[in-house]
Amino acid sequence: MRKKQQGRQQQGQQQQDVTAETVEPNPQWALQQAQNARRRLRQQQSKGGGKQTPQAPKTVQPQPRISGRQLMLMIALSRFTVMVVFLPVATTGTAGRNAWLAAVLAVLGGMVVGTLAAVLSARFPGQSIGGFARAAAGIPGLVLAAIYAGFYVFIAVAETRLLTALIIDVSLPRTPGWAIVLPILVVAVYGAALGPDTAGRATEILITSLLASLFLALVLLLASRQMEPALLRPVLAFGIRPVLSSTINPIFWFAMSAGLVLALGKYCEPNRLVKSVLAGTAISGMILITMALTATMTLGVGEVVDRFSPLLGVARTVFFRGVVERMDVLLLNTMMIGAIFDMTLFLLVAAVIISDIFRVRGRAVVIVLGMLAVAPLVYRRISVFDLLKLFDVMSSGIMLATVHIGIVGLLLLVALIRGKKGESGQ
Amino acid sequence: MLVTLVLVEGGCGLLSGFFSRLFGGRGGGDKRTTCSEQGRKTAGGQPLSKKLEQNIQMIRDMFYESSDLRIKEVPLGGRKAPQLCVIHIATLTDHDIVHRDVINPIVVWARPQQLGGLRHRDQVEELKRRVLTAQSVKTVETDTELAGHLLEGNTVILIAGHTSALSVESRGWPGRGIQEPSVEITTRGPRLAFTETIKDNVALLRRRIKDPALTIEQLHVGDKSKTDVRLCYLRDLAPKRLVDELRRRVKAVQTDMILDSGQLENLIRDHPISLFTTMRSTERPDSVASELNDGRIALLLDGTPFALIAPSTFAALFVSAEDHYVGFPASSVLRIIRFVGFGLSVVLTPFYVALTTFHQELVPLPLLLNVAATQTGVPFPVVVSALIAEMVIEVLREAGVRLPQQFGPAVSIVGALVLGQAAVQAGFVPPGLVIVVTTAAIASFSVPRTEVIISFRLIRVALLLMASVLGFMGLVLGTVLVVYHLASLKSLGMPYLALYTPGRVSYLAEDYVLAPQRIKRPVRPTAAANRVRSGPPPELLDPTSGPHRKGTKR
Repeated sequence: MRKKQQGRQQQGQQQQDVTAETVEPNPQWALQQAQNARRRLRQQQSKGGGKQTPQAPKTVQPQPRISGRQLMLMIALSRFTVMVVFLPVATTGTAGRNAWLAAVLAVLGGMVVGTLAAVLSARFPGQSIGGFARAAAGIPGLVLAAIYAGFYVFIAVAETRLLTALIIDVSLPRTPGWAIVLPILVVAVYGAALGPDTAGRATEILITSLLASLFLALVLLLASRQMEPALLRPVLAFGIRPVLSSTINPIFWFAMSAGLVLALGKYCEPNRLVKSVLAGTAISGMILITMALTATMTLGVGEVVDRFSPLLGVARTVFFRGVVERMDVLLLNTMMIGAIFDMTLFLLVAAVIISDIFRVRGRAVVIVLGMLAVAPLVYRRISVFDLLKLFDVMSSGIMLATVHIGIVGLLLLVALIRGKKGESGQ
Repeated sequence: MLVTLVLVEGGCGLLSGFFSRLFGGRGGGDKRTTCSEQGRKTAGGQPLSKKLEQNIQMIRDMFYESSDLRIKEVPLGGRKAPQLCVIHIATLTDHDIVHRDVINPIVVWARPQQLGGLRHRDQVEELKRRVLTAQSVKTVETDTELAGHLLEGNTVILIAGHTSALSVESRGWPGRGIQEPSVEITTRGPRLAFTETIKDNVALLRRRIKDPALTIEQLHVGDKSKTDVRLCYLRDLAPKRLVDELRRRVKAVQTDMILDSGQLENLIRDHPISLFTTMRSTERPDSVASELNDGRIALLLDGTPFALIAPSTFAALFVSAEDHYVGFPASSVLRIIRFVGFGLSVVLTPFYVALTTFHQELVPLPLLLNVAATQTGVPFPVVVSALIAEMVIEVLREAGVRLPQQFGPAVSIVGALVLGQAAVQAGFVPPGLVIVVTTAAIASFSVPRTEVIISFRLIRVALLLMASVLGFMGLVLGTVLVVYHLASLKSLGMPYLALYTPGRVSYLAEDYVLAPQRIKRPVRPTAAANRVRSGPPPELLDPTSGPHRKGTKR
């Protein structure tokens, strides 16, 4: 025993030795190798022989972590494509030239809903809604959490179908929808399966390229058309009512940050959640306000409403003589980066919640969700126009009231009444 | 050899049983039993015997009478029977050192007049302190230790009546001298590269970092090769957890042989099946010194001129050694050019294929007509032509590398010119595609790390296939896939996209656009324990402010 201890001490010293010019042979190493050889021989004998292959040492993987800034960027990027492509039309359709004002109000509404979710998540650090719903409301809480997870899968599927229709319309008219949707799904499942920390790091790369593309597009747009600020006047000519009603749709999309906070907040420091939600929503809001202003000033209300996407519509008219035409195709494909990331993130949110409910591995849940999403994604009977109705003022208002405010508010209320407060699960 | 015996011990046991049963306990079984016993004995590290003959026989058995084992017996004090024995392995030792510092002094010392009055038990101490003039003399107690010293290239001295031996450092074997770098060629900066001799490599490193904090730990890898590995880091900068992790990985490697740093890299790096290497290799001591100063850790291997550096990042792929030796505007522009080169090498060909196959509406009509005219008569679709062109370029490049230096460039250039021209004239490949493919191939060489160029080509081919199926959409999907993969990679637990993903201006300024060191104090990467580098030299401080100004007034 004493010899063993001495041997260990010598071994420890030799590891820490700063090598001078003399090279020390290591007898303990030879002894260790002999012991390893015996051990391997025993293993081979127990397995019935076989060649020994080199082994790569395993590393213990730590718990994934995301920073407050990554969460903020994820929140901003998760609505990027919707803010650029769809929402300016939807907002202008109801609020007219006051769409920018509706966007400002919607940002404030989205911040309120997001803060509600952040406060709830911060009460249960280290847990997602799937984990703390049971603590707050028991089995009914779990049911609510499951509905919440399913809602995000539904939104991911619907949004991808819509964007696929747009891609087919603008860029690939002869390509069947499933040929576009399935690769998107594969990439999204791969990204979601890699986990929240990977999504956080990917966000920082992707948002840079998207913001750069948007900036370039806006510069081209401004260079090609004369902007007319007069098109914004008079403000509130038809009163505040149309403006308020047109805020519902953007608030619904801004409130999608609630899911991110309630699912991915467990990987983030609790005291950063509110700040991240507010900053992320503000970035999204800035994009929407910019798009609403630019679209109205360059195209006018009538033309904006007639287009599927005002930015793409204007980009279609921009060309560099002799070099490139149809800038909208390039822009749309760049925007698809945001759409793919949306699907990745929403699948991840759903997977984190479900894996916390059933206490199973998140990666397996992502794969199962991806397989379940195949059918609604490729089902041809679902019309794009029916899907668009899901995101009109009425439908989005209902979803906002029931899911974002209803479920989150209910859980927060129960938690407050019962005085429940979670402990760090990390 | 000794450890070889140890390792075959188990196998000997199995064969022993087999032959015993086959020949009734005779023949091969007997021989293997001896081998097994020897292995067990050496593994246990038994103390040396007092009898010189027994020790010599033990060594002879251990090395199976190897032809390069040299045993010189020396009688002491005029006695006839040998009382002292000098043993070394001729192929691992420096003959000059052995004769000048060991054998000659011993022969002189062994004369009767020198040994007169010296007690027997003092002989070893006398030898160690006064007779042997070598740099390092150690005492050896066991047979395992003794064999280890011999295999390291030391000379061992056994003395009759003593249970300990002396080991004198005398290693020396033929090796390449220090030469200029052959892979990482720069226009400015030092012209020294690592060699295959680890001692020289450590010396090259020590010459650049004259700091006692430079720690060089010794490890061994490979059951048979017993490759000498040195773990190098600056104690005050390298995070301890990273050093511990890398040491743990190296020690956990179980393999027979490690002949090159690439083999070790494949066994210890994160994500071994990824196309991107998460450890950097370099042949330049100045690069290693610079990386150590950033808080990273280096691994030097005996027998290979390439050092491994960890943790590594994606941005490190675009860093060249001379970036630090030229002015910051030039180096910043060069780095940006390398990034652009990377982008072109990966995306250009798929973009062309997507454009000409799916999105012709993007191309203005006159240009489109030109492209269509060149495409007319080509029997293959654009994607097939692109793949053929890519394949031909790869074959030419590979052939250029394998050919002798005198013929390689000539064959590559002539082959490319003749083949390219002929292919266009024959109508196999459109000329526009030839321009695109060759531009992409040349752009890939702007990346300083040659080990990842092949990875970039593979990604290009994958994107090419995706673009040929879905146009720009396929290109976007492939790009997002690559970004996801890069974001998931880690090097020693540090994100591979680090220095980008923290997103701070100071990091970006340091790694993507080299900031002028005189203007601001750049920070070390997040891996370093101490992130702030030394400030500007005193003579660069503004003399009109601070203590200088006060001193002037006085």
